[in-house]
Amino acid sequence: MRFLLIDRILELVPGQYAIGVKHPAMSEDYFADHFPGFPVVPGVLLVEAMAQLSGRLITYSVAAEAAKRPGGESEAKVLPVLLTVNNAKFRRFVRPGDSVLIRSELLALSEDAGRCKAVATVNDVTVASAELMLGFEAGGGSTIIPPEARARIASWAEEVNRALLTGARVGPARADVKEQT
Amino acid sequence: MSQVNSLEEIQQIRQSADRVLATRHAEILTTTRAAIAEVLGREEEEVTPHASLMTDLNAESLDFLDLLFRLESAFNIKIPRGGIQRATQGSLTDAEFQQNGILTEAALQRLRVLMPEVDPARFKPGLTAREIPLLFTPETFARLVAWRIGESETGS
Repeated sequence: MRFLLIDRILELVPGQYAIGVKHPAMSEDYFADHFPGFPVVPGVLLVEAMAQLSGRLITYSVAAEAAKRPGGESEAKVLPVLLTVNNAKFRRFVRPGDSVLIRSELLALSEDAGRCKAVATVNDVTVASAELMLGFEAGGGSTIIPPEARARIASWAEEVNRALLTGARVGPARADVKEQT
Repeated sequence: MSQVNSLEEIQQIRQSADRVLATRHAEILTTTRAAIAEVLGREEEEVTPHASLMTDLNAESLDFLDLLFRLESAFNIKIPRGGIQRATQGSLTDAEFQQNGILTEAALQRLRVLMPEVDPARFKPGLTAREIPLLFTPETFARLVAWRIGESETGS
């Protein structure tokens, strides 16, 4: 099983929010044990999905901030890692075939961390929610991620992000700027 | 910038905090202690005003990150990260600030001005830059909050 828990990002507004979607399929390995005859998406995987979406929201929010500085467009993209989870609540079971919509809102952003509130819904009903803090190294430093792994993770992140964001509505931060390819 | 100027700059930070604490100390400290208790999963009574967050309450840098976000939203202020450390160094060059990690007398002098809540005897020669966070107490964060409130009130 790959560990990509967002299938697509539908909308991403740097500095504000992102919306992503996940369709857990019956073919996921974990359904065999969670639970036999009663497949339910584990709550921790919903939190991970929230973290993955929130991390991308933070990455692009930091990049949007950097772009306001002269020469900031060329700064390395930050790689946020999950630091805290608060107030996680699992209200409803999520079943295979459900379309899980996750919305993450950026509550605060500092030089080295971002805080997000994420809500997962299925058919407009809230199934889970949590507050997450993710940390990152400004300017591609290496105090969190080991320097020898950094380049590889960065290129992987770029590839995954490009796929996730294909067809996404990214803006309005981008709408008033010339579309970049 | 000369060292005299840089001391002036740190005295302004001190005065800015003092001014706010003069009228709001109890309230700011109470909210700060509550935030610390929540971040560290402690009872508020355990979070005494002069407890060292790291040595007495087992906080680590991650908890400070969490705490700063909470203080920012509780008081509607912006706290620059690494604020205490950065304010301590101010316009001192790295060499003026520390040598092989050990704080210079100029750095210690700045710390005594900046952190009056800490027993001045603790800023003794040989203290390293990395040990500064060990001195942080709830009073330190209340003072940090007061400084930011003071700055926002004067619009700087």
